[in-house]
Amino acid sequence: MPVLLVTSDNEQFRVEKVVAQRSVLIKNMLEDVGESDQPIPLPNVTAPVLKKVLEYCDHHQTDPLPTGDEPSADESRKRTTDISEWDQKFITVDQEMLFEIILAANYLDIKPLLDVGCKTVANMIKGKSPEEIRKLFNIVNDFTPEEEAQIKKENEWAEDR
Amino acid sequence: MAAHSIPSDPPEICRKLEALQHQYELIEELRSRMSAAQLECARLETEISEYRASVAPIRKCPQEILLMFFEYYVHEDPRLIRRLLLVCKQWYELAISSPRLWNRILIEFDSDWDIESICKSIKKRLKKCLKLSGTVPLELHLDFGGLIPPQDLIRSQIRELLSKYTLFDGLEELKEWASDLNVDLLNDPAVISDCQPHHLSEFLEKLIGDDGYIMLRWDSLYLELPEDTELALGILELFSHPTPNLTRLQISCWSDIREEYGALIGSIFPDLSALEHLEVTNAADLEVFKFEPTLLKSLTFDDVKSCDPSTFTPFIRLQQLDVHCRSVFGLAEDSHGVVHLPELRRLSVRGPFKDFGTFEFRVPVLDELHLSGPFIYPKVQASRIIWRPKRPWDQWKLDGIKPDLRTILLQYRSATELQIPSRFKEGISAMIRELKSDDTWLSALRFVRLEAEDGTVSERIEV
Repeated sequence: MPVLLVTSDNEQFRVEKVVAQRSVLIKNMLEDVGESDQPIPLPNVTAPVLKKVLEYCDHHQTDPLPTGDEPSADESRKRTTDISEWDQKFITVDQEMLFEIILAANYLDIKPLLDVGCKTVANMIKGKSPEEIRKLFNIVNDFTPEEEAQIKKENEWAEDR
Repeated sequence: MAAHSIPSDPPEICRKLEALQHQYELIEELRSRMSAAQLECARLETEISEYRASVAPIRKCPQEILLMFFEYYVHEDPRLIRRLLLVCKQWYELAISSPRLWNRILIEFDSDWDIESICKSIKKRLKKCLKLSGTVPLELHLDFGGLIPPQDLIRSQIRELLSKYTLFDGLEELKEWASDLNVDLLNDPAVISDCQPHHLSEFLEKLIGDDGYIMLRWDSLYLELPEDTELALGILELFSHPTPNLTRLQISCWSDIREEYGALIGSIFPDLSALEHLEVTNAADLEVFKFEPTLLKSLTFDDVKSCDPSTFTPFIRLQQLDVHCRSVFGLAEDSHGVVHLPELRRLSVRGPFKDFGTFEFRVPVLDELHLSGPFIYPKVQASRIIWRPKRPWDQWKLDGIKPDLRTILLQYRSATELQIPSRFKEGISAMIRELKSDDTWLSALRFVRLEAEDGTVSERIEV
């Protein structure tokens, strides 16, 4: 049975239940209301972002769902920054959309998508100096030169080649 | 600058001087307008960059998501954290107040480095990590594998020194001579002593703490011992305090741990009561460690040479077993032992350890079976088969792997998914078509996932 989702900008999306249920938030809502054709409001997601998110859910609809019973230490050990080829193409979007997808994945509770977004940002920072990171994300350097020198001195680890 | 007339100047000169003075004043005025404009430009630039920063997409991310970016960023090398500290005050505050960014401690050595100064630097880093990680369990990665024995170090230093005084043509002979050099003749303790990395124990003691109180915080330890057995022994001896919270232990060693360090049995890691994941080289190494086998969830043998099936009997809760064999071992036909692991979910067999093809496995239907063959097919059933021949993949021709793939398709009939390298796409498709035309082929297979060289799944074929 299809599910009707309504975005913050009042656009409606009719999607298969198996696709919508990649979102733990939607899955729980569906379980709470039972069999119903009532639309599900998503006040934190706009139509263009939901369209992208649903594209991801559709592609990954047969993937095993994360069990959530992994201990946190094990989870942190798995934090590699590898992203599959399809996911990489999917997440090649402008910064505005990238962060919107990340926020939507967080709100809708789609952990694998949140991971892909976070890995992408981590990969964007990789190999960059603090100044390059600031430029990349439009961040203002609010340190005084003295503060900056002090932080550099405190964290000067000679074994980093 | 000013243009002044003198009393003897004729009226014509006076007029020109006045005009010149006017031009100077004009320049002065323009200068002052320029500097005002420059100030205005700087003000506008600051305003623009502050405005841009205030509406930058990253600003919408709450701290917990920023922290996830940081965690992925420092995953490969926790020392990268220092770059994040310098970006802005918000990132600095977030980083230093997030213990999970500081609890992973990576230490690796290379004999090219100046060990003394490196150890000093590591001590400084450890102090910061131990302070900022608070009470979060520590994950340690200590790699001493790059430290070469003192004799080898002396030999390489002699070679390096002499090569400065040798013509290019003589270099090969020099290398040979230096390799054959009997450095045991250098029995001057002062010479050997200079090459011994004494400083290691200083920072290791920091990680251990007085009476081992920091070892109580250890959650996981990866330890790669140096080739120099004397040095390795010195390192192992330091770990003689209880680690009751250690859940994961991985030890990699150049030689047989039980044979080489058997004298330490019972004195190193005296309390491993929480251990759930263990990786050792060979099955025999299990005797060295005192742990509760019924708690173990995963077990890895990194280079198994022999293995009695009864070895597994105590591991009644084992969920994951990885067996890696680097050369052909095992008894094959003669080996018909029973491996009884009632909670096993994942089995990985890499390398040609024949026994794993003949053992009788009493296990449930596994979630995953990883095979790298060739021709070792454990008698189990699994929902998902991941078949990954040893790299480099481009050396594997379809004809060479066909028998392997065919056996997998015929033997593992409960599998709903099969994952193979993408370069065998055509081969597997043809083979499945052929098998499907045979009515006797019964299989639950639904998908074939094609894996790219980097290990990610690039495509999925429906069967």
